[in-house]
Amino acid sequence: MSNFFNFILRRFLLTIIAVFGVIILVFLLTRLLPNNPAALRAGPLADAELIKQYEREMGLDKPLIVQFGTYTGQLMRGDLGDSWRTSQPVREELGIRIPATLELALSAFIIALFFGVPLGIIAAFYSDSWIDQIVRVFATLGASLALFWLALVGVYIFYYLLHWAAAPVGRLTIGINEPPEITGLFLIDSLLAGDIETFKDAFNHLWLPACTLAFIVSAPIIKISRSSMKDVLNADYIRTAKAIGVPPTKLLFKDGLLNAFIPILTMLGIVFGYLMGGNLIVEQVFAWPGIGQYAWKALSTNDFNAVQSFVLLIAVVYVSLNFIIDLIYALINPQIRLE
Amino acid sequence: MSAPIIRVEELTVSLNTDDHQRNIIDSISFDMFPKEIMGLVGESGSGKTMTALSIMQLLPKTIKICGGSIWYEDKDLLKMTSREIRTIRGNKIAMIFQNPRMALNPLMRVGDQIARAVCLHCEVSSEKSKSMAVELMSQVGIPDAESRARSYPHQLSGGMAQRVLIAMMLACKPKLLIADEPTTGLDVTIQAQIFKLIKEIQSEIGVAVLLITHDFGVVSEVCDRVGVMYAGQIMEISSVIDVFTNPKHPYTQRLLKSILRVDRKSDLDTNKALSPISAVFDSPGCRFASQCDCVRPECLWERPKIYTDSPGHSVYCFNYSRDNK
Ligand SMILES: Nc1ncnc2c1ncn2[C@@H]1O[C@H](COP(=O)(O)OP(=O)(O)OP(=O)(O)O)[C@@H](O)[C@H]1O
Ligand SMILES: [Mg+2]
Repeated sequence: MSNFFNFILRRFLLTIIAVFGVIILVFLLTRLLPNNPAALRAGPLADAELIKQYEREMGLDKPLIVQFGTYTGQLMRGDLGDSWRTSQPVREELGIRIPATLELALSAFIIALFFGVPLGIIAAFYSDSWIDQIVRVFATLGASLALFWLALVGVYIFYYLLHWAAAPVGRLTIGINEPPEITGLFLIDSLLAGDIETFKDAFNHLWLPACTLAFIVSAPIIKISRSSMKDVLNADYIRTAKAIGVPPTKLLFKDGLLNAFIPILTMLGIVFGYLMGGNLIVEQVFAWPGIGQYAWKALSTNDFNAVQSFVLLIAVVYVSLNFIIDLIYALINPQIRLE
Repeated sequence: MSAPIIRVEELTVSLNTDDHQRNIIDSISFDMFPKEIMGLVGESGSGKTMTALSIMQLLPKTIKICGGSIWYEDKDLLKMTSREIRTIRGNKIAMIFQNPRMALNPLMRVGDQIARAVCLHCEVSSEKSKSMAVELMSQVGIPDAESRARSYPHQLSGGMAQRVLIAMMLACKPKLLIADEPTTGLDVTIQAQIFKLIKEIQSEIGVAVLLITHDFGVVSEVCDRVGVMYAGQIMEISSVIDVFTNPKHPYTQRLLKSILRVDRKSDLDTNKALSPISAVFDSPGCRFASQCDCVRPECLWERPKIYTDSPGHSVYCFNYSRDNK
């Protein structure tokens, strides 16, 4: 068991180092952007004197290493700086938007997970049959359709034609109050508050963007589940299990899935990271008040602190996901746990 | 002799590729009797494994049985539903494989894997099955079985893993154990131990063993009878004594000669020259004909009928069946 803790500790230290590396990288990258943020902030009519003054205020006149020191010092205190665009603390602005993105990402992730993994497994079990063909067509569609196009078509069909979904403007209909914040996820909070009306409204807003995203990200999940399951089904220990008469469902979901789960898990981590950081397009189409939209605005206005914080946030999400995946991996695989 | 437990009758197995069908097993027949150890020898690709997998009904997807029957207790295994077959597998007929460490699920404790085999076919509680698993493990000579049962496969040596597999397969006291090159990849000393174990178990619980091997040395030490296969056909079946002292089929004679030579480490190529080329699989006659020194015209287009030299010694060769008429 102490080996297990050693493993976790090593992974944890590596995670910390990775986060630190990301901080340095993000800092340098944003300083390499071609525009001078002080000039931008001062506006097109400002004279050199004003720009200088802004530079001093923003600390941009100091050497890079000093700037970096100040920056990390702030980070340690949990201070992400102020947005130069809105003059609000970035931490607060992100804090408001994270639950929106998280709710969308989690829903899409759960749909894709419970949809993609079984589909991939079934396709592997019936490989080369018509079931397999259909699943593969489905995955190929998901991999090749443009997210933007799919989102618009979704809105057209399910909102405009069928009225199954709410208007694509945000998380709630105007006039309906946000549920009291507990998790920040409206579906859960409204249920906790016992407010069925709000729940329904939140659900009507959520399901279409979530399904759109889920459709796109289920493609890689299906593919990896199918291929790793196919490999596992050819393994010798599956033949042994068959040779003692293990019935097919057990074979598939016990012997098979557990062994195939390790590569699937890696892909799930990548997908979740993507959903947290990459659903800008869907947030745009559905006017979803998440961090993707925020990052886009920040980037187009050279809002250093906001961009830096967004990239850092996503990087931390990825790094911690990797850490969690390593943990699960070690829990599943005795070879890692015990060696 | 008592009634056979397994009767393989004119079993034909084919591999279908896009452009043509090839019978990788061509109408073979043999019987297995209770409590005997029968060897199945032949070069690589002669279809030994496919014969075994046909009995287990575990053939790869691309390979299909297209004729014959396999009788077990008056029932044709080939006509059973997959549910019926599962009640036979691991229960009445069990099989162990080469590469034992790969044949165990890497994520399950070995004791649990054995216990599961017990649970599948016997109505026992899970506690009982666990203690039975430990018992089985000590029965197959695993020292310190109690703690070994909690190991994972990667913590076992190949020899230990094969013992675990044997324990798993013996869980329900099967009538037939198929062992497909069970010692490939193991140390020579371990190999001897595993064969000794198989022999002990055979006499202890009275299971019949179909032992697939390349090794005539093993055949002579372990087996009672032996079948010789070439390119999907059975050439000769006889007692072990007969095969060494009185081999009838030209292929058996060649094989024995070449093996003796290989033992003296001179000429490995004789063996290679004998291995079947793919064209012989399409021949309607004896598949060894193109290599045979005593070939007759009819060998090329007609399958030799069985010739019984003495009780229990059958040869498929025209040189005997025609002479004897
Ligand atoms: N998975 C498979 N797919 C297609 N053909 C196969 C497969 N496995 C074996 N074959 C073919 O079936 C024939 C018989 O193979 P088999 O494995 O039964 O031989 P074997 O006597 O067991 O050989 P070895 O001593 O090497 O184990 C060979 O011609 C081989 O090429
Ligand atoms: Mg083989």
